[in-house]
Order: sequence, then structure tokens, then C-alpha cells
Amino acid sequence: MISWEERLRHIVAIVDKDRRLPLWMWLTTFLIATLGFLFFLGPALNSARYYSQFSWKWYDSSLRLYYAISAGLTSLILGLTFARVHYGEVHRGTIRSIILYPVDMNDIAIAKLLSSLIVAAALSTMLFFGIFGAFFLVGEWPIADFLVIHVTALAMSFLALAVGVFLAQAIAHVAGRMVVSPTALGAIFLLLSVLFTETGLTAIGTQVAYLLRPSAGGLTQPAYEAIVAVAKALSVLSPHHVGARIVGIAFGLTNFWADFHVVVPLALLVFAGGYLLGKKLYLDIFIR
Amino acid sequence: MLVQASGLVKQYPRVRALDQVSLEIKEGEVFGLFGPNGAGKTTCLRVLSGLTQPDAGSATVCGIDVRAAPNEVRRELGILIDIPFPYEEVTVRRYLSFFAEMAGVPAYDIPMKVEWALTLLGITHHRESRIGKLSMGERQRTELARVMLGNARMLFLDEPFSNVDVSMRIGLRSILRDWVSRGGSILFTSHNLLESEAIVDRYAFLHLGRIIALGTARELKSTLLAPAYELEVGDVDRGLAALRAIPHQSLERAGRGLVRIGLVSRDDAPRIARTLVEANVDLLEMRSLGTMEDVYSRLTLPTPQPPQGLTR
Repeated sequence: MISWEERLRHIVAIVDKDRRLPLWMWLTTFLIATLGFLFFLGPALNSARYYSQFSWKWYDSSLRLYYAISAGLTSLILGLTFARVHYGEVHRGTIRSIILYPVDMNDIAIAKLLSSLIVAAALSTMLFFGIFGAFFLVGEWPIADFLVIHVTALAMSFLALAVGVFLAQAIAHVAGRMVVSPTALGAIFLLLSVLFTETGLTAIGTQVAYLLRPSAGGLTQPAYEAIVAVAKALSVLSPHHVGARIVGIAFGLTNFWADFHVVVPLALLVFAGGYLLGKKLYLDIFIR
Repeated sequence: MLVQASGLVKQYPRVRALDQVSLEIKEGEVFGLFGPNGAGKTTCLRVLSGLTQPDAGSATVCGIDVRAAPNEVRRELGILIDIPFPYEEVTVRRYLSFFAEMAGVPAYDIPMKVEWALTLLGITHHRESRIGKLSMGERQRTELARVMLGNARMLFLDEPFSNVDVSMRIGLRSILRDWVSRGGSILFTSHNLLESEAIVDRYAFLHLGRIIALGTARELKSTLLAPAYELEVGDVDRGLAALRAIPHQSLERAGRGLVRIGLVSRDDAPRIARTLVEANVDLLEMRSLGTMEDVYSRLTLPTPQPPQGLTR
């Protein structure tokens, strides 16, 4: 039996290795963040000049917008960093060296998830401050509220990614081979978690309905309401819907239930299944 | 016994990689696994290291059942794979430190252990070199340093001497011998049978997933090869004439001052020197012919062609 202490030591070692990014990645991110900062500095200064008499107030529409930006940013960065540390290792073959040590599939998955979370947190926060930093600097936007949005979006993106990774392990066990890689399924879940928000589904639904409409002209009100109803019903599947609701409740914008009665049990079920089946996987699944 | 495997079977969709493989490896033994490409050597190593699930059979390695605890087994092993994929962007020191940590070396001990391994493998001057910049031989030495870092009771070495120069091979053999003398064991695969004779204690020959021969070099040679000798004599013609009296399969001139004789029975070997002395022919040197390569050819080639044409 491999003790928890030993497993933790392996996980920490892998995380410590993976969190070291090449210098060019830090420089590129810093450069993009700086350009973003400079780009938005003008609008921020104008905003400060003309609207300085108003204090910031959250509305449902503004929360949706800024949460969507954070969700998109964190999902993108998290997906890319996980692809680098997990798929990158499998693709380059370096995973073959790690599996020569007493680790199991879960140790590798947990270590890779944690390292991608650390790296994504650093990079996305850098970009976050690059994009919004000018508005914080001139005192227009409340930095703490925005950080809450960013952290919540990052946590929900991580949840979506982790579900995809552990589901890939469960599928691999059932199929006997890596039918879909954890990186690919993680990326699919990251995308779905953004698309399955109320806003995302409504946007997709209206576009599809518009394209499929029988004659020229716009959508009818009942059709639009039906799309919104379907979007609301399906959005309980998205971690980002839950995240936005939590933030909405925290900001006093809504009294609705946070809707985690679907996402959380489903995620726990996938984690438990993926973990237990992952324990039974032989590590040559990476090299077959 | 450090390894006890019985009836291991591994079936892939198109090929049976292991077919009822049974073997035992004792403590302090270097066990060589040989065979042509695709014979099942790598699969055997993978099954014994808990990386691949066997379809049938059982195996314990260092007292751990590989089917019950496949990942735990590797705590006791230092494994070198045939084609390593190191992290090319990191320095040798960081690479070894990482794997020392993975091998369970206490954090306070890692720098010292890394330094020890660097010195042992003669790559101290590459301490801060990136692995991607190293030559193939230096990479192989780094991989061997990685394997030697941990507290393994047994080493699984797949082609450990590939890409390593001759002087380093000699050094590595002595390092491995020293390691074995301290109670460790080695399961070793290689294509270089001649070189293996300097290090391997016992051989298993795999062919199409089956063990077709198992034993020490001496046992295998005496079982599978007829005794053959190369003699350096003072007078070849008189030597050939005298040696005709001994029952032989072949007797021929092998070059200037050289005679090759293939005997019918190993028991007749002492008669060679006696016969030549009686015939007043100087015997300058007598070398036994028949290497493990000849054993290999005898076992695996469809039409065996030993160098002296001497097979039982």
C-alpha cells in the first residue's frame, strides 16, 4: 500500500516540476497584459473624468458581462496549461519516465490538475490585471469585487476541467484504452461549461432558431421565451452558471438558489467513479 | 527470491507477447533476458514492473504481488527503459533531483545523492548542462544515474549500454557488479550477447513470447553447443595430423599458426594438449570457441549457422 504521505510527496514533486514555466511564457503574458493595460488606460481615464461622481453599482447585466470575460479567460488559460503539462508530457513521451516510479493514474491526474491550476492562476491573474487594471488604478471599478469574480470563475473552470479529466479516466478503464485523452475531454468540458450558461445557451438558441426560422423576419416573442426557458433549465449543468449565481448572491443581486444541486453531486459522482476506476488502470495506457 | 514469475501470459490483439513465462531471480544475481526484436522482453519487464497487466499467471517482485499492487512494486525497482524520453529543457542536476524525490530520497539527502550519482557516472562536468544539449551517450549515463539514485533493491535495465562508449561500458559493468555485490539484483536485456557474458550470471532466451532456454552461460553452452577450440600451434601440418586421432566433427586450418577443432565430446578436451605434446608440437595457446551469440543463433535462427558448424 502506498501511503498518503508518499503519494503527496510524488504529487508535490510533479507540481513543483510543472509549475516552472519557460521565461518566454512569462514574458509573453506580461507583454499581452501590458498592452491590454495601455489599451484600456485611455477609456479608464475618460471614464474617471466623466463618471467620477457616480459610485460603482453592480447590475445583473454587468455581472454577466464581467463574469463571462473572466470565465472565458480562465477557461482558455487553464485548458492550455493543462494541455501543456499533461498532453505535452504524453506527446513528448516524458510521461514514460514518471510512470517508472510508484505513482498511479490518480496521482498523475491530481498533480497535473494542481500544477495547471497554479500556473493558470498566475497567468490569468496577470492578464486580468492587464485588462481591467487601468480601471482599478483610476479608482473606477472595485478591485475586490472583480477579484471575487475572477477567483470564482477560475474555481468553476477548474471544476469543469477536473470533471473532464476524471471522466476520461473512467472511460479509459471501461474501454481498456485511452479513447479520449484527459486533455481533450477536459477542454470539451471547459467549453461546455461556458456554452451551457444561461447567456451562452440563449445566445446559441436564438442564433439557431433564427437560422431555422420558416420565413423572413425576426423571432417571435413566444419562441424567444421558449429558448430562454430551455436555457434556464439546462444551465444548471454548468459550473459557471453556479459560479455566477454565487457571485450574484454575494453582491446582493439575486435571492435565487445557487443551483449547485446538479453540478456538485454530478461532479462528486464523476470524481468518485473516475478515481476508483483510475486506481485500477495500468499505466501502460500512456504508451500503448 | 527477488522475482518469482509463473505462467505469465500477455495477449495483444495480434500477437501473444508472453506465453507461459516462468522465471526466478535470486538476490545478488544478474539475470539476462535475451531474444530477437518482438520476442517479448520489454513486455516481460513491463509486466514485472506493474506497468502492464498480465492476462494470466502470477508474479512477485521483491515480495510484492504485481497483480495485487502493480504500482507499489516500482518502489523497489530502478527501471531504465530502452528508449528514454528525458526532460530536455532542464539541467542534469534538476532532472536528477526531481527523480530522486520521486524515488523517495529524503529532501535533505537529495543534493548529496545527486552529486554521488553524477560522480559515479562521470558526468559532474555536465551538472548544469541542459539534457537537450547532451550527446546520446551522456544522456544514457544521465539515465543510469537516475536509476542508481533511488533505494531500489532491484534494477530493470533495458539495453543499458546502448550509446555508451567502450571505456564507459567497462566502468558501468564494474558499477553494476559492485551494486550486485551489495545484495541487489539486476534484470538485464541487451542485444549485445558478447558483452553480456562479462556481467550476466544467468540467461533466459525468449522467442515468440516463450522462454526457450534458461541457465548459466556454461550450462547453455554445454547443452547447446558442441565443444570447439582454436589452437595456436608451432607447426600446423603436424598439429592437424596429430589431432586426427581425437574423435572430432571438424578439424581445419584457421590461419597462420592456427587450428580449429570441433570435438564430438567435451570429455575429449584434455586429450588435445596431451596429443600435441606427444606429437612434439608446441601448443602456444588454446581458446574455447562458442559464445553466447552462438547459443542465441542455435536457439532462434531457423537454420543455425554456428561459426564452426558445430552443433549437437
